[in-house]
Amino acid sequence: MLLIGPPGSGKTQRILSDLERAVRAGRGNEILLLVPTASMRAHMLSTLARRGLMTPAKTVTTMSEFVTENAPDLSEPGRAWEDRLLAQVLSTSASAWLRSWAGSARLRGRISALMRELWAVGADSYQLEPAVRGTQQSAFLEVFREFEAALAREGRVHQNQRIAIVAASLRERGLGDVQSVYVDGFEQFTRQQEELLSALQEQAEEFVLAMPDGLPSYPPFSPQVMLPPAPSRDSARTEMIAAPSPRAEVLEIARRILASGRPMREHAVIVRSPEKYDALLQEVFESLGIPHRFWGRGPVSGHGVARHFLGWLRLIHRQFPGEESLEAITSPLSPVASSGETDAFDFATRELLPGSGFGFLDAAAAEFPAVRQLIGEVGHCRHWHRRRVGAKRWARDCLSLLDRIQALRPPPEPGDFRRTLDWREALAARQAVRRAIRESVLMPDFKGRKRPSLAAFADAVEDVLRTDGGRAPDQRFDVVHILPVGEARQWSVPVAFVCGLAEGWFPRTPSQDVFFNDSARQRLHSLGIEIRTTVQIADQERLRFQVAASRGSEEQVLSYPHRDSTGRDLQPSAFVRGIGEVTDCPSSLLGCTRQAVPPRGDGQLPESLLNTVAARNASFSASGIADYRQCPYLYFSSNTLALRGRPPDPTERLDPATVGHVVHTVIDRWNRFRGDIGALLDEAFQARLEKLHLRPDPGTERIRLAVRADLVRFAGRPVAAMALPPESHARFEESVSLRIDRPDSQPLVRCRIDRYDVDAARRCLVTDYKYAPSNRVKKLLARHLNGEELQLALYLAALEQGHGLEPAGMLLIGLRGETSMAGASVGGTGGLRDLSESELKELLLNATKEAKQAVGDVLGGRIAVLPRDQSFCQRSCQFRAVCRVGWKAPDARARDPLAPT
Amino acid sequence: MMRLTEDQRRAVQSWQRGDICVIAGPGSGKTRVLVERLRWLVLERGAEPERILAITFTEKAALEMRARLVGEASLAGEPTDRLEAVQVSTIDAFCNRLLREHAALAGIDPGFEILDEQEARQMLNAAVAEALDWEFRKRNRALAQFLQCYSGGSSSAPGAVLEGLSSLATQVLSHGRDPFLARRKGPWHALSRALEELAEAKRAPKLAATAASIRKARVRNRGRLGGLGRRAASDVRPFVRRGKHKDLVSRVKYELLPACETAAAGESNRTARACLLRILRRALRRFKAAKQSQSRMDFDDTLAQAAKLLGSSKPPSLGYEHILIDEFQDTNPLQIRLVRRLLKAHGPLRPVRFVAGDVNQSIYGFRHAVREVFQDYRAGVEENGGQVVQLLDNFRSRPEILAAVHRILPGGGDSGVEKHRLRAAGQFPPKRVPCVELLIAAETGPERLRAEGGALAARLRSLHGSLQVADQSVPGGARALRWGDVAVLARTHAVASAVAAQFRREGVPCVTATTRGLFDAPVTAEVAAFLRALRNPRDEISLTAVLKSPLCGISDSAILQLRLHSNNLADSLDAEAENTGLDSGEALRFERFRLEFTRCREDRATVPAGPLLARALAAFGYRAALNAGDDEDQAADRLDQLLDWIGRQHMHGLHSVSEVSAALDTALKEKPPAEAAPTHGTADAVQVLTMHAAKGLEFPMVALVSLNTPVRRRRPGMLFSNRHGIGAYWTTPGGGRQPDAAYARTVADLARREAQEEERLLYVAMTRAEEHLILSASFTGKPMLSGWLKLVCPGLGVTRKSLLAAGSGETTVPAGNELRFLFRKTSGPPSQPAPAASPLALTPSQVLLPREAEAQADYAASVTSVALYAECPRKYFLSRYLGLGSEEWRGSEAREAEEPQRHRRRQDPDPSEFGRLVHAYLAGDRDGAKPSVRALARKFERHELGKRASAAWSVERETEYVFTVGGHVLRGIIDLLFEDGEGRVLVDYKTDRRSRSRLRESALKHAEQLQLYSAGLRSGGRPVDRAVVFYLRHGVAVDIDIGDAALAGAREQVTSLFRAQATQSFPLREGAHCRHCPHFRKGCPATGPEAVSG
Ligand code: SF4
Repeated sequence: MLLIGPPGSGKTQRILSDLERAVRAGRGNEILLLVPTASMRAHMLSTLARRGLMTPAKTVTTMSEFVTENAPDLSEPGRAWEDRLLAQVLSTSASAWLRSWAGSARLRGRISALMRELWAVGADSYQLEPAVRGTQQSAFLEVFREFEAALAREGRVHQNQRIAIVAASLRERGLGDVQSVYVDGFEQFTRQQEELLSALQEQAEEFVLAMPDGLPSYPPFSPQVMLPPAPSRDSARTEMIAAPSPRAEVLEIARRILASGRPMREHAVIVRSPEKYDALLQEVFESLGIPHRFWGRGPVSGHGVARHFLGWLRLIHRQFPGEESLEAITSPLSPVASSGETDAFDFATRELLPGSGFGFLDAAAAEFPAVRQLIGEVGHCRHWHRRRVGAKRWARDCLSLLDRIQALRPPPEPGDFRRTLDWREALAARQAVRRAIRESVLMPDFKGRKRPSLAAFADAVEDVLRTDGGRAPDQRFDVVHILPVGEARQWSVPVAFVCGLAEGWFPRTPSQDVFFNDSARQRLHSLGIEIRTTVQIADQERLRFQVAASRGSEEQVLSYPHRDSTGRDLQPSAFVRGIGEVTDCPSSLLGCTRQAVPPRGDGQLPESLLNTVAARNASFSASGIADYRQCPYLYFSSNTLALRGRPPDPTERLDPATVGHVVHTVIDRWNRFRGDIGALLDEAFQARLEKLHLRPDPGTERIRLAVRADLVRFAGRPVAAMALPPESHARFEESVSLRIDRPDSQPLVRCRIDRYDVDAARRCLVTDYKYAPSNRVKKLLARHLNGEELQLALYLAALEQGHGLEPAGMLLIGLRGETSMAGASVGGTGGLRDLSESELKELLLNATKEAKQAVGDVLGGRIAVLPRDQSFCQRSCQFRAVCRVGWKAPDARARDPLAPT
Repeated sequence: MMRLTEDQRRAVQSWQRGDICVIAGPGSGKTRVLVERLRWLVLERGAEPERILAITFTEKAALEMRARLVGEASLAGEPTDRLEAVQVSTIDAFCNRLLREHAALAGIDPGFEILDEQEARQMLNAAVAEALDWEFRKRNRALAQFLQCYSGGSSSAPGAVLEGLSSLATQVLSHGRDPFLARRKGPWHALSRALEELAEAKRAPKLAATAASIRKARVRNRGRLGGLGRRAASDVRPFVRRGKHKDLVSRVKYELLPACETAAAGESNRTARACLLRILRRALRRFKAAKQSQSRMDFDDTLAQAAKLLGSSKPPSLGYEHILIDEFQDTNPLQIRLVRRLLKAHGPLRPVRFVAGDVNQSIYGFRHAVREVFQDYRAGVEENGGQVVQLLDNFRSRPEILAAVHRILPGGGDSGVEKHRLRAAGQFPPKRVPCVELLIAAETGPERLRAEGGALAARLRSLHGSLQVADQSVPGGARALRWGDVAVLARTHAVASAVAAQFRREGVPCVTATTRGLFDAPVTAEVAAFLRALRNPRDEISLTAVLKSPLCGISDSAILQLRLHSNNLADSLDAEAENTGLDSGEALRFERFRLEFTRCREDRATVPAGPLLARALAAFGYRAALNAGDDEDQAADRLDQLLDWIGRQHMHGLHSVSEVSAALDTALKEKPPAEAAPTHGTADAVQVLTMHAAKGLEFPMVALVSLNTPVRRRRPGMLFSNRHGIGAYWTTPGGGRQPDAAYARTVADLARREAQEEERLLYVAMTRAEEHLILSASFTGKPMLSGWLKLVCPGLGVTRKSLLAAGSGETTVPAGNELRFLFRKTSGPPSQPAPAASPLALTPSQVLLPREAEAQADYAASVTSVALYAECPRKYFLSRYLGLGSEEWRGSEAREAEEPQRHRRRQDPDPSEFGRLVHAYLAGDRDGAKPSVRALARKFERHELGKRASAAWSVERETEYVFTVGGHVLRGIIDLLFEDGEGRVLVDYKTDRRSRSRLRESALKHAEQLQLYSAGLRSGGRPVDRAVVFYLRHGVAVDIDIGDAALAGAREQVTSLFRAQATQSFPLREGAHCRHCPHFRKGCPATGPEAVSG
C-alpha cells in the first residue's frame, strides 16, 4: 500500500500504532520498519519503548543497515576509500584536463556525486554513452567507465549495486520471520531502492509505504491511499518573525525557549544552512545555558583532538617548523601540559624564532625536562618525512605516536557536568582517530607492496576522519534538538523553529551540474535516465520546507534575518512570502546572572604597599622620570610592576628603539676610535641581529642600508665640533647620577650621557644623538627649552652636582635623513640658539624640581591614569589595555540592572 | 502591468537587431523598464527564456529583479515558469557558471572555489614575501640598490617594503593589465622623430641638433636622456599651437615630452626599477601558482578566465539572443572585455544588446569602474544607428529637490556630472515648508561632528511626527514622518559611526551597519587580551589587562601584591601559590577568576573559540558589566559583532583559541574594514549608512552629513596605472624622498578622477531623497569652504561671508524661481537633550538570563551499564558514561614502561572474544566454529532447558530489545527467550570459569539483568515464568528470583543510575575488584584498601 499524505497528517502515527499492536502480541520479529537515517531509527525506537513496549531493536532498521545485514559478504567501500580510488582513476585518465586536476578534492566530490546520482537512477556508464556530447561529458564518461571497472577489479560494489543484489536475493530467499514491512520517512528512492521495496512487497504479507504528498513522482505501488490533512494540524500556531540579523534571530529563538516554560526537549530548531547557524546557535545557547543537541554535526576532523593529531603528522612531515611545533607541544592535549613547563617553554622558544627542525626544538628544550622527554620520545619520527614503509607499519607507528603526543589527563571528577560532556566528545574523537588510522590501511592506493609517504598516510587519515559522521554520541534527553532539515522528517515536537528563511539560504539556489547541465539532463531524460534538473531540485526544496514547517504540533515559528552577519541585505525566502503577518522581532539582550565586577582604577596605592614600592624603585633613570611625567600609571606598569609582554615576533624585533640603540653604539665607538663608520655599523648591526636571533632579510637590509647612508652622511659632517671651542674635551657614554634630596632617603636619578664636551673653563655642553629627522629634532629642542622634556637638563644638573662642571648648553643631533642639529647654549656659538645664563639655570632648577616631584610621587604610591600626551597612548603605549584610558568604565555604583537581586 | 511613459515604452519595446542604450536618470524607473522588457520579450515576443541573459550589478539587484519578474507576472495571473527560466545574474555569477560548464575548454578545475578578499590578501602577501626573499638570496646587489633607493612610506619598519610591494601587486592585479608589456621603442624614439620633423618645419637647427643628440644617446648613453629631454622642452617652448603644425606641436609638448619625462625618471633608478619589476613578476607568478594549486580563483580571475575562454579560437557557443546589462557605468575594464567577447562569441547572429546606465551615477571608480566606457558605448550606438533612449522623468523626488540638484550640480565643463535635466514627474501633495534645508553647525573644535550630529538630531526630533509625507496606503494620502522614513548618508564609515553614536546619546533611534572601530573598541581589546592570556598567561601585560577588566576586576594594589609573590604574574595562577595579602573581597574575586580561567585554559584545545568564549564570558558575568555601562559605546553590540566576527573565522578554518587569537591580533594591527549587521530591530529607526551603500535606495527624507569634510586619502609608496606604469617614492642622495614622474602623474590623474567622482557621489546621494533633503555641515571658520560645501554654498547662493554673519536661527531663502530653502545655523555645544528613553530600550522580558547549566540524564542506557553501575558507580562513569576505554590508558602505560612491546602477549586467548563466539554459535551462527566453542555449546543443548528450547513454539535468540523500566529507556540483548506449553523462559548464558561452589553467589550478580528484562517483558504484556542463568562450563542452570520484590529492586537500580546521571554523583565502591579494573591507579582516585594491595 502506498500511503500518501501531507506532512503532519498522521502517517507515522498510523504506522506506530500498527507496530505497537504487533509487538504487544509478541510478534515484534515479524514486523519491519525501514527508515532513512539512524537518528530517525533511534527516535522511533525510543518512542515505542516509551509506550511501554519491549521492542526488538531490529524491528526498526535503516535502509542501509538492512542492506548490510542482508548482504554481509559484499563490503561497501567507505566514502574515503572510494574517493582515493577515484583519485587513482583520474590520475591515469585519458583526458589531460582531468589528469591535471586529479588532486582536487572538490573535483572528485563533483564527479562522485554525479556518479552516485546516475547509479541512483539505475544508469551505468554503458547506458550513459549515447547521451554524451562535448569534451567535458566524454571526459566524465571515460572516468565513470574506468571507475566502475576499478570497483569491479577491487571486488567491491557500490551501494546501489549492493541494494540491487539484496533485492534479488530477497526474492529468492524470502523474508524469514518478517511478515509486515513498513517504510516511512523517505521522499525519494533510487532505482535500486525501488527494486528492493518491490521485492519486499512481493515477499511480505503486508506492505505499507508512507510518503508525503506533492512529490513529483511516486514509486509504482498500489493501492494508493490518500490521507486528508489532519484537522489537528490547524491548531498548531504558525508565526513568522523577521530579525535584523542572524544573531538577533537566534536570540529571539532562545528567548522564546526560555520564556515558554516547557521542558527543553519539547523544542526543535530546524536548520537548512548549518554553516551559517550552527556556530551561532552553539555560542548563544552556551552562553544562556540552554542544553542543546546537534543532530548532524560536522565531521570528526574538525574536533580539536583530531586536529592536534593530524597537526603533529603534518609537522613531522614538514620537519618541525618552529611556530607550529610550538603550538603542538604546548597544546593542553600534550603530555607536557601537566608538567607546568609549557608556558615558559613557549615564550623562551618564541624568542629564538625563526627556527625550525628537530635540532632546533631539542636545543630549545634543554632547560625543560618534560618537553625534552616528549621530544626524545618523538625523536624517532624525525626521519619519517623521507621514510617509505607499508601502510600497516604507518598505522602501527601512528597509533603509538598518538599515545605519546596526546596524554590523557585525569578524568573529570563527576559533578562537573560541562567538562564531563567535553570529555565524552574528546574521547569519542580519540576513538574516531584510532578507527581512522586503522581504516586508512585499507585505502586502495596503499594496496599490495605500496609504500606510502607519511604525508600520503596523513592525508588518508584525514580523509577518513572527514567522512566520519560519527561525532560524539550526545545522548542527553532533555535538550533542545537542533536538526538539519534532512533529519527533521518524522519528528514531531510541540514547538518547532525554522530559521534562516532567506532567499539563497532556504531555498538554496540550485547550481547547475558541471558535466550535465539542465539541458543535458533533459536529453538524458529522453534516454530514460531520469536525473533531476534544477527545477526538480527546487521542487524538492519546497517540499523540504513544508516538512520543516510542519514539525511543531502546537507551535511553529518561522524566521529570517533582514541582513546576514556581515550586514549584507537579504530577501525573505519565496516560501514565506505571503504566508502571513510578519512580526519584526523585538530586540533581546543577553543578560547575566552573575554580578559583574566593575573595573577600578585606584589612582593611589595604599600606605601598606609603599615599602614595597620603595624597594622596587631604589633608583630612577632619566627615561623613567620621562615615563612618569607622561603618565604615572605608565611608570607603575613598566617599572614598579615591571610587566613583560609576549616576546615580539621576529618581524617586530628590530623596532625603532633597537635601531636607535645600535646607532648609539656605533656613534660611541666612532667617537672614540674613528675609522670607517659604515664598517662599524655593519659589525654592530650584525651583532645585534644575532642577539635578536634574526637572520638578515630584505626588511633588515633596508634598515641597515638606510642607517648606513645616514651615518656616513653624519661622519662627513662633524657638527658637534662647531659648538664648542676646539680645545674642549669630549667624553662619551658616561654615567652620572643626580642625587635627589628627600627627607627619608636619597634616591638617585641615573643618567647615561651620549656625549659631553668640557672646555678649559670647565663649562660643559651635553649632546644627545637621536635617530630622527630634522623636524622632529627641532621640535624636541623646543620641548626641552620650555621644560616639557627634562632629560638634557637633568644631565647638566648631574654634571654640575657630580663633577662640578658649569653647564653651558645642550645639543641634539638628528641622524635620520640629512644630518641635522638643534641646540642652545650660553653665548649661542656655532649655530646654537643663544641662551642666557639665567635661563639655563632656570631650566636646570625646574628639571631638578620636576624630577624630585616625580620621585616623590612614585614613592608616595601615585599611580593615576593621567596621560600628558593622549596621542602617545594611541600610538605607542603597550599598557593601554591595562590602564583602560579613555574607556568608559561603568562606575562602581552602576550595578547590573538586569541581574536578579 | 503599470502604465509606462512614452520613453519607457520606447525602451521596453525596441525590437531591432542593433544595440539599445538606455540612459536612465535617478528615479526614472529603470528597474521597471528592465523587468518589463524581459516580460515583454518572453511573453509577448515569444523569445526563448534560455536565450536571454540579464546582468545586474549586485547579487541583491539580481534577486530583486527575479522576484519582481516572477512576482508581478503571478499577480497578473500570467504563467511564470518561462519567466523563471530567464537567467538573471551578476557578472560574477555568470562567469562562475560559464567556467564550470566549460571547465574542460578552459582547462580549469570545475570545482574551483572563490577566494575571498582576506584569503587572497594573505596569499598575495605570502607570494610577495617569497619573491622578495628569493631576490634577496639571488641578486643581493640589485636588491640592495632597490632597498636603498625605495623610500615609499615614511615607515622604517622592516615590513614597509613588503607592504609597498603587496599594495603595488594588488593595484597591478586589479587593473587587469600586464605591467611588463613595455613599449619596445619607448617615447624617446618617437620624440626624436617628431623633433626632427618639427625642426624641419620650423627651420630650427638647434632643435635638430637636440633631436640628433637624443637619437644618439638612446643607443649609447641613456643616462643623458633626462637632460636632453629638458633641453628639448626649452627648445620647443617658443612654438605655439597654431597654424599648419599645430597638431605636431601639441603632440610634442603635451604627449611626447611628458612621456619622456616619466621615462627619464625611470632611467635614474633603472637597476632598482628592474629589480622591483623582477620581484613583482615573480610574486604575481607565485600568487597565480598558489591559487591554481588550490583550485581557487578570485573574482578578477574568473572574469579574466571567462574572457579568455570566450576569446579562444574555439569558444563555446552560447546562443544568447538578448543580453541586458544594468548599471553599465559601473563596469570595470575587465568586465568590459568580457562583455565584448561575449558578443563576439556569438558568431554572425549577433544578440540584441540592451544596456542601461547613467554616467552621472558612476561611483565605483575605486573599484576601477570606467565611466567613459558607457559614454563610448553610447556614441557607438548612435553611430551604428542603434536606439538611444533617455529616461529623464524623475518619479521619485519633489521638484524642489531636483531644482536643488540642478543648482548645486549644474554639470558640464570639467565637472564630474554630465549636463542633463531631470524632469519632475512624480505626484506629491502640496507642501508649504521648504523641502531643502541647509543646516550649519557653527562649531570649530574637535567636537565638530558631535555638534553637527546633535544639531541634526534636534532638527529630526522637531520634524518627527510633524512633517507630512506622502503615503498612498493611508486615507488622505499623507501621514506624519516616522523615524524609519529617514536616512542619514555619510561619506565615510567613520562619519556614519560618529553620527550614529551622537544620535544614540540623544535618544534618536537609529541603525547602522557599520562596524568601523570594531577593532578599536575596548571590548575587542579586552577579549583579545583574554585570548592572549589563555594562550600563554606569562604575557603579563595581557594577563594584567584581564585581571583589571570586568572579567576579574581586582585592583592595582592587588596586582602589585600578586606580582610580589611571583616571578611572573602567571605563577600566581597556580593553585599552590599562596596569594596572601589580598583582602578578602579581592581574594575571592581572584580565586573565582583563577578557577574559571584555568578551566578555559585546559579546554582551549578541544572547545572551539566561539563557544569557549561564550561560556567564559557568561561565567565571568562579563555582559553584566557591559550592559551596565554607558550605552553610547554600544559595548554589548560590539561584543556581539566581535563574536560574529569570530564565528566567521570558523569558515576560514580557524577554530581553536590560538588560531582565533592570532587572527584577532592581526586584525587589531591591520584594522580591516569589517561590516556587521546591526543587532537592533529595524522597525522604526533612522538608517545611518554610507552614500555608496545607499545606491539604488530611496527614502522620504534624506540628510547628508559632514558635507564640509573632504576625504583624505593615504596613498601607498608605489602606484600603478595603465597610463603611467609603475611609480614610486625614491630616496634622494641628500636623504630626502621624492616621487618619480610616473608616481606624480598617477597621483594627479587619480586626484582629478576622484574629484569628479565626488561630485557624482553627491549627485547620487541627493537624488535618494523623495520629499525632504537636509544638507548638513559644520562650519569650520577656515578662510576657504571645504569639501562639498564648495559646491553646495554657491549653488544655493550662500557665501562664506553670510555663513559667518548669520546668527543662530533659521531663515527661509528663495533661490531662483523653483527653489526656496531653509537655512539654519546652530552654534555652541549640542543642547543637552532630555535623557530620552530610546524607543529601542529593552523591557526586562527581552533580556535573556542564562540558566545554570545542569546535569542531565541520557535518554537511554544499556542493561549491562546498569550492572556495571551496581558493581561500582565510578567504574560505570569512567568506562561507559565518559567512554574511557582501556585502550586509552595504554598510552600512559607505554610511557611508564621502558619497552612497550614487552608486555604484550599476543597468544593469550581473549575471554570476551571466546564468549562472543559461544553466544554466536548458540544463536545459530555455526559456520566454522572451533571445537572448544562447540563443546561448550553442547552442554546447553543436552540440558533439559536446551531440549525445551529446541522444541518450543516461539524462540528468540540473541535479540536486542529496546524497552522502558521505570520510565527509562534501556537497551539490551536477551540471549534466549522461548515459550512452550510450560510457559515463557528467559535464559542468559555465562562462559565464566568459576568454581562450582561460587555459582550461586555469582548468579546473584547477573540476576539484575534478567530481572530487568523480566520487568520489561511484563510491562510489554509478555510476563516471564522463569529466568535462568546458565553456566556453560558446568552445565548448571541457576534460577533467578523474578518475584515482584526482586523486580522492584532492579527497577530501583535503573532509577538510581539515571538519578546518578542527573546529579552527577558516581561514588567509588572500592574493593578487591579494583585490581581488575582498567582505571585503577589511573583515572580512578581509589587508593585501594588493604584487600586490594594484598
Ligand atoms: S578502581 Fe575500584 S573504585 Fe576505582 S573505578 Fe575501579 S572499581 Fe571503582
